[in-house]
Amino acid sequence: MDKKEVDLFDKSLSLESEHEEEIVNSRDKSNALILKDDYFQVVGFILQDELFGLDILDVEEIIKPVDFTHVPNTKKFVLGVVNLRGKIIPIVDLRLRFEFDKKEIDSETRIIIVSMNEYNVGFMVDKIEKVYYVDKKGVEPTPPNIPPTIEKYVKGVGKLDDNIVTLLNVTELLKENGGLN
Amino acid sequence: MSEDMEDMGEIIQDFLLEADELLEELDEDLVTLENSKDDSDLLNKIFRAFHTIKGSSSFLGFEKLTELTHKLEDILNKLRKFEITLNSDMMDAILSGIDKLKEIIELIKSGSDPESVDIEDNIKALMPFLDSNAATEAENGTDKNTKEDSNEIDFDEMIKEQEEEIKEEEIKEEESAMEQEQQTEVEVGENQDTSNTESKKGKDSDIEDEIARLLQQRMEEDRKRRQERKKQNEQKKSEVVKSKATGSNAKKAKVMPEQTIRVDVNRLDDLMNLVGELVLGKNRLTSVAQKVEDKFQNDDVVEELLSVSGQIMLVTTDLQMGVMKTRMVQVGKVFNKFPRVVRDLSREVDKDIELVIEGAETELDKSVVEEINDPLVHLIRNAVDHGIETREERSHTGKPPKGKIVLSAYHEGNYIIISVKDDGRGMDPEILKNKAIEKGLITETEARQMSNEEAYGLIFKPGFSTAKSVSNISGRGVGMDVVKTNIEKLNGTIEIKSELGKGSAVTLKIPLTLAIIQALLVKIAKEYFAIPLVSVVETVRITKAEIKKVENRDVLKLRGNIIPLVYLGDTLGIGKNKKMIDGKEIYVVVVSVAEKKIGIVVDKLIGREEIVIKSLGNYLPNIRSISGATIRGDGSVTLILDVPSVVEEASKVKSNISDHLIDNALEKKEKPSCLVVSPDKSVRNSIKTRMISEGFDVFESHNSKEALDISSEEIFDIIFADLEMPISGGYEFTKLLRDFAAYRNTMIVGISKDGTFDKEKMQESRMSDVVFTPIEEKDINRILEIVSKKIKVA
Repeated sequence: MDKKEVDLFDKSLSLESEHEEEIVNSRDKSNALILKDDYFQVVGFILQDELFGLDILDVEEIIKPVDFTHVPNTKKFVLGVVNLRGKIIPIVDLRLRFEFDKKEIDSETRIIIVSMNEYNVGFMVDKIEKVYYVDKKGVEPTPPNIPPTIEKYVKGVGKLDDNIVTLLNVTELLKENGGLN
Repeated sequence: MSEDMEDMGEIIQDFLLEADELLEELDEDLVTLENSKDDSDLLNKIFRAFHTIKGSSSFLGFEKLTELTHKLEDILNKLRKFEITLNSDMMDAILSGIDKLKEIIELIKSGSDPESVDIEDNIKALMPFLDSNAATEAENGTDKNTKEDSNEIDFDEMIKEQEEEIKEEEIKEEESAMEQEQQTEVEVGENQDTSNTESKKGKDSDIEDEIARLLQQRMEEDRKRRQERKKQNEQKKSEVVKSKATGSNAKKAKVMPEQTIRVDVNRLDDLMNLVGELVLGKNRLTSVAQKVEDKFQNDDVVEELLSVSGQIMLVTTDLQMGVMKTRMVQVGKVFNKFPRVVRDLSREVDKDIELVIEGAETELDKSVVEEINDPLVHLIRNAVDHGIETREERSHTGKPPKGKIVLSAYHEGNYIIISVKDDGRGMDPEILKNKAIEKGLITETEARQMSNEEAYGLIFKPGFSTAKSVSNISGRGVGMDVVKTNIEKLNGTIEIKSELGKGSAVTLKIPLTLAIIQALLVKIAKEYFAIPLVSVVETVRITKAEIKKVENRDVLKLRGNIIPLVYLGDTLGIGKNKKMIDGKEIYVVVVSVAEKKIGIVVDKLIGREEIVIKSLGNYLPNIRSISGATIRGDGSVTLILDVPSVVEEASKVKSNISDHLIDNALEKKEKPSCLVVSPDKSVRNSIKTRMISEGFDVFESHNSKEALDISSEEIFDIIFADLEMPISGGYEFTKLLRDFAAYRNTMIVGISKDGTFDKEKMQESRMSDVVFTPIEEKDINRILEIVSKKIKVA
């Protein structure tokens, strides 16, 4: 099999080259699809100096902040709606959603468009890191130091070589909608 | 085998569709028949309809359906031969038989067992009208135990009938059509018998082949039959026009190929969505072309672009109309069931009522047609029960004993107007008011201020009913509420007219289609909103002197009508502290919802636009006062107001127009004020300290969006805006700010951090001046000088 065809892992996106080597080597021997079963691919982003991760399969795309239209009678964390190629997408400020302090939009601010079960929502985050590979076996349940406001949205904590990433549960995040009733 | 099963499913689907259509027609035809008992054409038509249903249902093995239809067919056969005459008891039995048929069809549709229905009562009710000959047949009918048996008997009967019919040869052409139909049916029957015997031998593959062959034959036959029916209809029409001896014409009609196809509604919906996208694209293209024209005039390429965009616009509009038309169905589809409804109801309340239908051929969108059914049922019921008087009452007042209800439809622009008019007793506004006070729905003061129209509107309040007792038909006070909710859902309006003793008329005005609508665009602070044009009565420009107070609420007297005024921002919960209105020109959009009219005060009227309705998605469901969103020509999102809920909200919130007047805000101001907008804290601080020392109140903001909000709440004398900001920079911000009535001539200064600025953009956005960082004393002084002159003048 040609290497390029099965190149699921973009070198530039991997966390450390050592780990990367290992994956590439093992891919030569076995099959990339088997590897995929052992690792989560998560989009890592920063929120209040902490590293969070969303499953890459739930992420549709990442965009820079654009002008949004405020929608009255919605919860505070709903910033408004934007037009993304003809689709109306609500934008949620994830900081406000988790009851963190508000932060001004700057050049690093990004919006992660999440698409899941007919839901399309954009989450505004401080900064995008990169795509990480999180060993499924290494995922641990939520540690007690996670703030109670976000505890129920956390799937677990993934271990990276020199950091940890808090994996978010998108289903829970979308369950409570942004309307005011 | 599975493919065959799919085919079978298709056949059943076809059958259900056909049966639905036939039963719908039957309802109407039977009621017509009651008034013209000797119409042999009509009798034959009804007979044929029953016959068709019977044939198909027996083939598909729906026993109960076959049995009941068979009985009905027998009665019709006797009627059309004039062996018996129709009376209302017989009609009741037939109609309840049809209801049972519908019930069975529904069961088949929902996948339940159609044989679980009890049809004994219906059979019993029908039996007395059939003579002894028929009674024996009925016995046979009840003895039918197995499918094979029933099939055999059915086919025997069919052959018998067929023979009879051949002998009769009453109406040549129609009969010959039927003969053909039956011959094919007999063939199928025989084949099925052979397939049955074969199945016992267990040759699966043979059976499959056989079934496939049968299915094909059946489909062929169905097609033929449909064509036949169509031809017959056409024939009939031409016969009506040209009386007799039109043999050649009739033949011509026969050669006509089938001109319609059935299309899945989902496909049409998809198409409509695509056209919606195209309309948005078109709007965008037009706006871009306009911009290009403004920028590069007298350029050949621009000319070409304009002509292309013009052409795209025309074609898109045509395409939109074309696709809309494919979704159009005749309103008669709903209207046709009402003769039956009126007949049943008038028998129940013992009144003589004639229903006149006008404009049944008027077309409107399929989804709208589905939604207007329930409201119309309630309006018709209401007219029968409350509107039309009893026979005695009518004779006392010198009216003809037979009451009349007119159900009519016609087009008016992009709307369809449907009205239900009766010549009954009319409504007494005083009685309505008293009843409403009694039920605690309104206060006495409110009642005194009410106009007659508003009083009629009371009937739409939930829980309102003037009926002395609750009957089967109406009186529970929910019906009219349903009318209101459904019509509002369609963005429609309701108007009631009534004259005591002469009758009442309820008129519904509904947009033809739901996906693309005309809207009026308005602006509140920095946000645009679209108001569906159907709800807009008119727009007026007033001054603050014209606003009057009634019971501490703002109202406008408009041609003798008192219209409550409310600031749109307040009803949406975004108006707090907004000071956006110039007291010399206040824009009011008068909207009407069902019976209510209110005036919505907005900052600015933008104009009329065609918009495509999009949903806000699952994450933002049922947002109060917002019904959806649309994408504008420049790609931005504009929210569509849900006018009924805005009006409802308007009666709850406290809205004082004078709170939003710029002039009032300026009067209260003690110190000059200044706003500094920049993401850069050091930049903000340097200007801030300088301005404070000059005696200014200084406000700061990180970004232009927030700054726009702040500047709609506080009116600044000078604004400093950073040219480089995320989302929208200084030029853009200035442009948006100049659109606010309070900032048309205010000093707006750009802050350049790299020593450059764009002169063209500055002129375009009408930015007053530019300063460079680090801020120099002479620049600030220059600006302060201009500002202080302005403040003095003011």
